[in-house]
Amino acid sequence: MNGTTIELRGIKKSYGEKSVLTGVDLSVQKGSVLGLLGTNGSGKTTLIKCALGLIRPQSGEARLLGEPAWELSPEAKSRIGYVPQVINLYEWMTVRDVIDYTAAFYPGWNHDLVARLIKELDIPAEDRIGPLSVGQRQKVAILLALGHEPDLLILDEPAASLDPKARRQFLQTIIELAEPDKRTVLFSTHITSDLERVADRVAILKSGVIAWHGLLEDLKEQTHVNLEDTFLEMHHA
Amino acid sequence: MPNPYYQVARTYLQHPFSSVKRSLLISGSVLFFAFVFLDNGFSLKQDFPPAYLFPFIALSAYWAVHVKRQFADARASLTPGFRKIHGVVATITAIVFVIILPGAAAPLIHWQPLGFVSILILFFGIILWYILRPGRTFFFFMMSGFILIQQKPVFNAIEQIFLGNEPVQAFIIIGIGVILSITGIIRLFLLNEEILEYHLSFKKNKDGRAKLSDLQWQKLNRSCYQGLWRWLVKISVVRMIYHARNATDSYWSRMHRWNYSGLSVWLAFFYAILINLFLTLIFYFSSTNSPPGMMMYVTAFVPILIIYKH
Repeated sequence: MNGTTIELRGIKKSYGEKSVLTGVDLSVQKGSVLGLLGTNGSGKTTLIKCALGLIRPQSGEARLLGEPAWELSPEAKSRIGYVPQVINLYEWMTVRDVIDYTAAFYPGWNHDLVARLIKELDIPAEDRIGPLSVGQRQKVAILLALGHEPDLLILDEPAASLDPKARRQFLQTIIELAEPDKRTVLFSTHITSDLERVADRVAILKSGVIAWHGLLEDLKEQTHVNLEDTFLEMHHA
Repeated sequence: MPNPYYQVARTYLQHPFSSVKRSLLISGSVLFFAFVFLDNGFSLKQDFPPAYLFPFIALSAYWAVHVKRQFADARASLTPGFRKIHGVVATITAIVFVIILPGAAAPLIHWQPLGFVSILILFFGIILWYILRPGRTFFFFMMSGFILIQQKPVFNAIEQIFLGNEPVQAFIIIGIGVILSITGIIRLFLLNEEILEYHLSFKKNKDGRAKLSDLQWQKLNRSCYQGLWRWLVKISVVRMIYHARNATDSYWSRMHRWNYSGLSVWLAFFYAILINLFLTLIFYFSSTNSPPGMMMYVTAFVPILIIYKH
């Protein structure tokens, strides 16, 4: 591991009177696979959006690939892949059209990888987006985020809508892509088994701050119970 | 590597022609207006000249909805070159829709391009700001103005601008329209989640969620399911109510609330049509308007309705 890909310092964010993040500090090292764990409504999506520069924190600093998240250069953007929690794709387009449309913005688009993923994830490439199920849309969004082989892949609850087969396939794809010292992956989830399968590091978000951050192995050793019990204990504490 | 400008330009045609039904309706509307503009007999100009504005107003509305959908999206902030490429294509398309096409069409009906384009630039700016900040009050005033200029005494005054008799007024209108349009376009191109227009101008609770009481939902249900247009709106209404009821702070939820607002516009449009029909009938029986003119007037709403529905 060398270098920091995501650097969050004292991030605070509130919506009206509701405080969501109350001072988040988090560093994600290059090449790591970090699982961001938190209950529904704990602020995982808000944290990810602050990290990506999609929303501006009231205070604190977010840096991504060495640049301020709010002012990312085109070069930095071309190194980021993002799968939002809820997918918004043009419903009138076919999957193939959406891929061509997205690929046009990335000079390094890997058509062979995309063709392979279409097959592996069983995506109906010639179908329109409109009639696709939520899970199928999720697969398309994942495909679009992976097509340009980003250095940093950020996924917001990526596997929540997938069936068990697709979920396993998707997690396997993340493992393959997260080559040590090369690609960084940050994904949020509330499903501890997903996290255990692919993450090497864990950050637990609770009450607007990172309650625990470190190696997954360390967490298991410290608590001597499984991750799900640890997670539940932390949130009931 | 496919050209990104080509890919973005394609989206403007992909949507209207994405199904056989929609393609037929759009093609029929285009043919209808092409016929109307090329009709040397000028029956429409005698019967109901404001109808010549409709296709360009529909194009303006389509442009604003389409471009807002592109920019009110996380991809606009995270895709390299997104704003520049979409901005260039959108600007060129706006110039074609609002200046070149009307400028070329105006001489066909013996109007001055300057006057015709000036009014359409003003309409474009107003529609753009409405799409950016949808609200019932704004909509009410916009539709009131639209209905007003369709009435003969008002339109006769505006027609002097179309005929080129009031160049100073035309330039003033262009100035106002350009200011509205440019400020709206800049706002649109810079959209991000921190800008109000990215979201809805819906009333919200303290936590930012959509605020609608049960009574409001009941009223909505009643207004949606009653009346002549029930069969037209049922599917859209059920879907949008479902999503709006389950609204959260997520982006997609906001999209649905935005769609819901669009639906309100659409429903209001039906009210507007009924008012228009009523006024037209009054004018028809009290003036020299002929039945074909009135029929054309009613038909002219079709493309606008299609655009608002989709």
